[in-house]
Amino acid sequence: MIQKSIAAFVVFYLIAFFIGGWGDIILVSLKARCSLCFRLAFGGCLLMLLGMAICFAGSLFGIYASTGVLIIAFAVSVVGILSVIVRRRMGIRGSYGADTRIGTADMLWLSVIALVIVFQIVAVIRCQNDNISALRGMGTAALVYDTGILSVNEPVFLFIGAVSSVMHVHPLALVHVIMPAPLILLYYLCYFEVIRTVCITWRKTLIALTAVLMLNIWGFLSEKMIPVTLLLTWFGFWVFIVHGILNIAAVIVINYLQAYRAEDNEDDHEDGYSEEWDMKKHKIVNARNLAIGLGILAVLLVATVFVLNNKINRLYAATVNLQDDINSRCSIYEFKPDGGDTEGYLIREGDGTVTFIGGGGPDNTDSLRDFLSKYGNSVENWYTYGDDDDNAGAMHDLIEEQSVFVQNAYIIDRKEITDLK
Amino acid sequence: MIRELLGELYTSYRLFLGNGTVLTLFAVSVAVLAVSDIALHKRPVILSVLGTIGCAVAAVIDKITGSKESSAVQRILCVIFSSAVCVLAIVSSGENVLSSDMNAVAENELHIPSQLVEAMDAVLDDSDAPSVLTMPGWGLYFDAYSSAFTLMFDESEEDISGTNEYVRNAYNELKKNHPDMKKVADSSHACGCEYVVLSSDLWPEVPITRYGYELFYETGPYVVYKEVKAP
Repeated sequence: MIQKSIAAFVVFYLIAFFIGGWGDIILVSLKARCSLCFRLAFGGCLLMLLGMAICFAGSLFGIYASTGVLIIAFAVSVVGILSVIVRRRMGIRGSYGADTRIGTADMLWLSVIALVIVFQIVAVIRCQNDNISALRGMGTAALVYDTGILSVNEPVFLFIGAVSSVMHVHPLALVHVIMPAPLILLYYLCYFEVIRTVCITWRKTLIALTAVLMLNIWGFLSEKMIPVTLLLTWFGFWVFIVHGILNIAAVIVINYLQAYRAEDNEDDHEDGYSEEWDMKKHKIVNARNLAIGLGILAVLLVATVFVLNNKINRLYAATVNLQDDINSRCSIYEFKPDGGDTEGYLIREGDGTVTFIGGGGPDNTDSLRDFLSKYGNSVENWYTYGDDDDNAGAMHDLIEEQSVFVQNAYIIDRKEITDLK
Repeated sequence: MIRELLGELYTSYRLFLGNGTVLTLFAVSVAVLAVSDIALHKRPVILSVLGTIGCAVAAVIDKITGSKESSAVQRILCVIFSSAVCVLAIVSSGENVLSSDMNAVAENELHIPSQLVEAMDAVLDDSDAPSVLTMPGWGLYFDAYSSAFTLMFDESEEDISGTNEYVRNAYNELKKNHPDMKKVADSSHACGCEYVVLSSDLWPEVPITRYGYELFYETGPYVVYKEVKAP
């Protein structure tokens, strides 16, 4: 398994490097500097996207997992070759020079950060987390692995299932032993790129990266947030989006805005327009602030709707089973004819069995009939204190009328009880 | 009305973010970056939640380090203090994922208890498509291990509320230390579950073997019962 892990790691980053050329193309077109880290990060994310998209598309046609992987390999080859062609046409050089600004102390710090990342990877491989819900969705991968066929389901687990099927490794083993190293490192490369784009200096970059490392270690917030916790579900779709795609998107947007700002600064001859633009920027009620205000209002409205909907659903869930809950418990009810003394007790058990004790004389017949009608008019066991009219008169009348069905009737012998005392 | 809405928002906050303070840290980080000298075109960094917090921490510490007005000792003390505050804020933002409370050494490469794997293998050897009722939470192991299993339930309590009465009954009973095995067996029979995998930690008053199941396999804390079928 170690050999497979190492081989998978190497292959993953070779492919990432191959198709990550598109990252260089994007940065060069935005007049930004290329970097090896961004190329690998972009390529890794692109490989995951391609894999998930092709597996999902294949599942619509019910193709074999091995066929899906072949299609992925073909797509990767085409994308990679296209990137090589486009890079050559754009004159992008393939060399990535080392950053000479980094000092010895920064190198040491970077080494410590790398060690912590390796520690995290080893920890997730060697340790088994108690949060079983992190495995939600792995059933899809197991299905693909067992049947060898892609069926419509979550794309990321289809991809995992397809890869595990081809590698002849159980999806759980793939996820827990083989995938942590390439994926966790990939996400940290994404973080490194976005932080370096913002922070510029190595000192600030390393401080920020250290903070991110610690945030991931102290990253368990709640059961609901497990799908975005990197060190619990590094193989999940939402981790890919939050820790991968959003970081890459941030890098691209920042570089785009930087290029846009550079173009804007070149247009110095439009003084009148820029003066008017300056005036507009300093006005409080302008389009931008209005948009921000409307956006906040929209968020508040959506939150209100969400909260109200949640409350209504919870109330419904609480009440829908309320009657069942009441019926499922053992309950005792007092029989008090005309609000007077207690003449009997009705016990209703969880399974609906009714037992009645007492009842009194014929005077109680009408009240008892109304009382028992609320509980189904069927009594499994009826206990009376004697067979005379005063104790069992009501019971006799109800049985003769056939208004109540009594399965068993018992007479409690008071003399026996007194003797026992 | 407003109080109820705020109460619901707070409940949702606690449900999603627990006792952590990541959202607060993120909001503070956005504010720090806004008042610092971060360029306008770099503000899309907020697309990355952890990246924003990291950059804010770096901005704060760098600002203190770069201050030339105070002496070197004062700067060092300020750096230490601000770093300590940042570390404390980060450490309190959530729980340690790698702590020993939440983790145990994996017994195998599947990260499933080995004895549970043995129990699942025993069931798979006996039947090609076994239908299983198991303890709440264990279903995810079965689901992830093999697609051959048909489970009565493997979901969380929220998902259970929408299922039928038998599933709810079985789920609610198996969450107790002293479950009513008659209800469990009735639900299992009604849903056609051939195997019942239970924990040996349960203390039912009447064992499930009285209700149409026989002991099939036992290993460690995992006990497998099989439905007795009339010849």
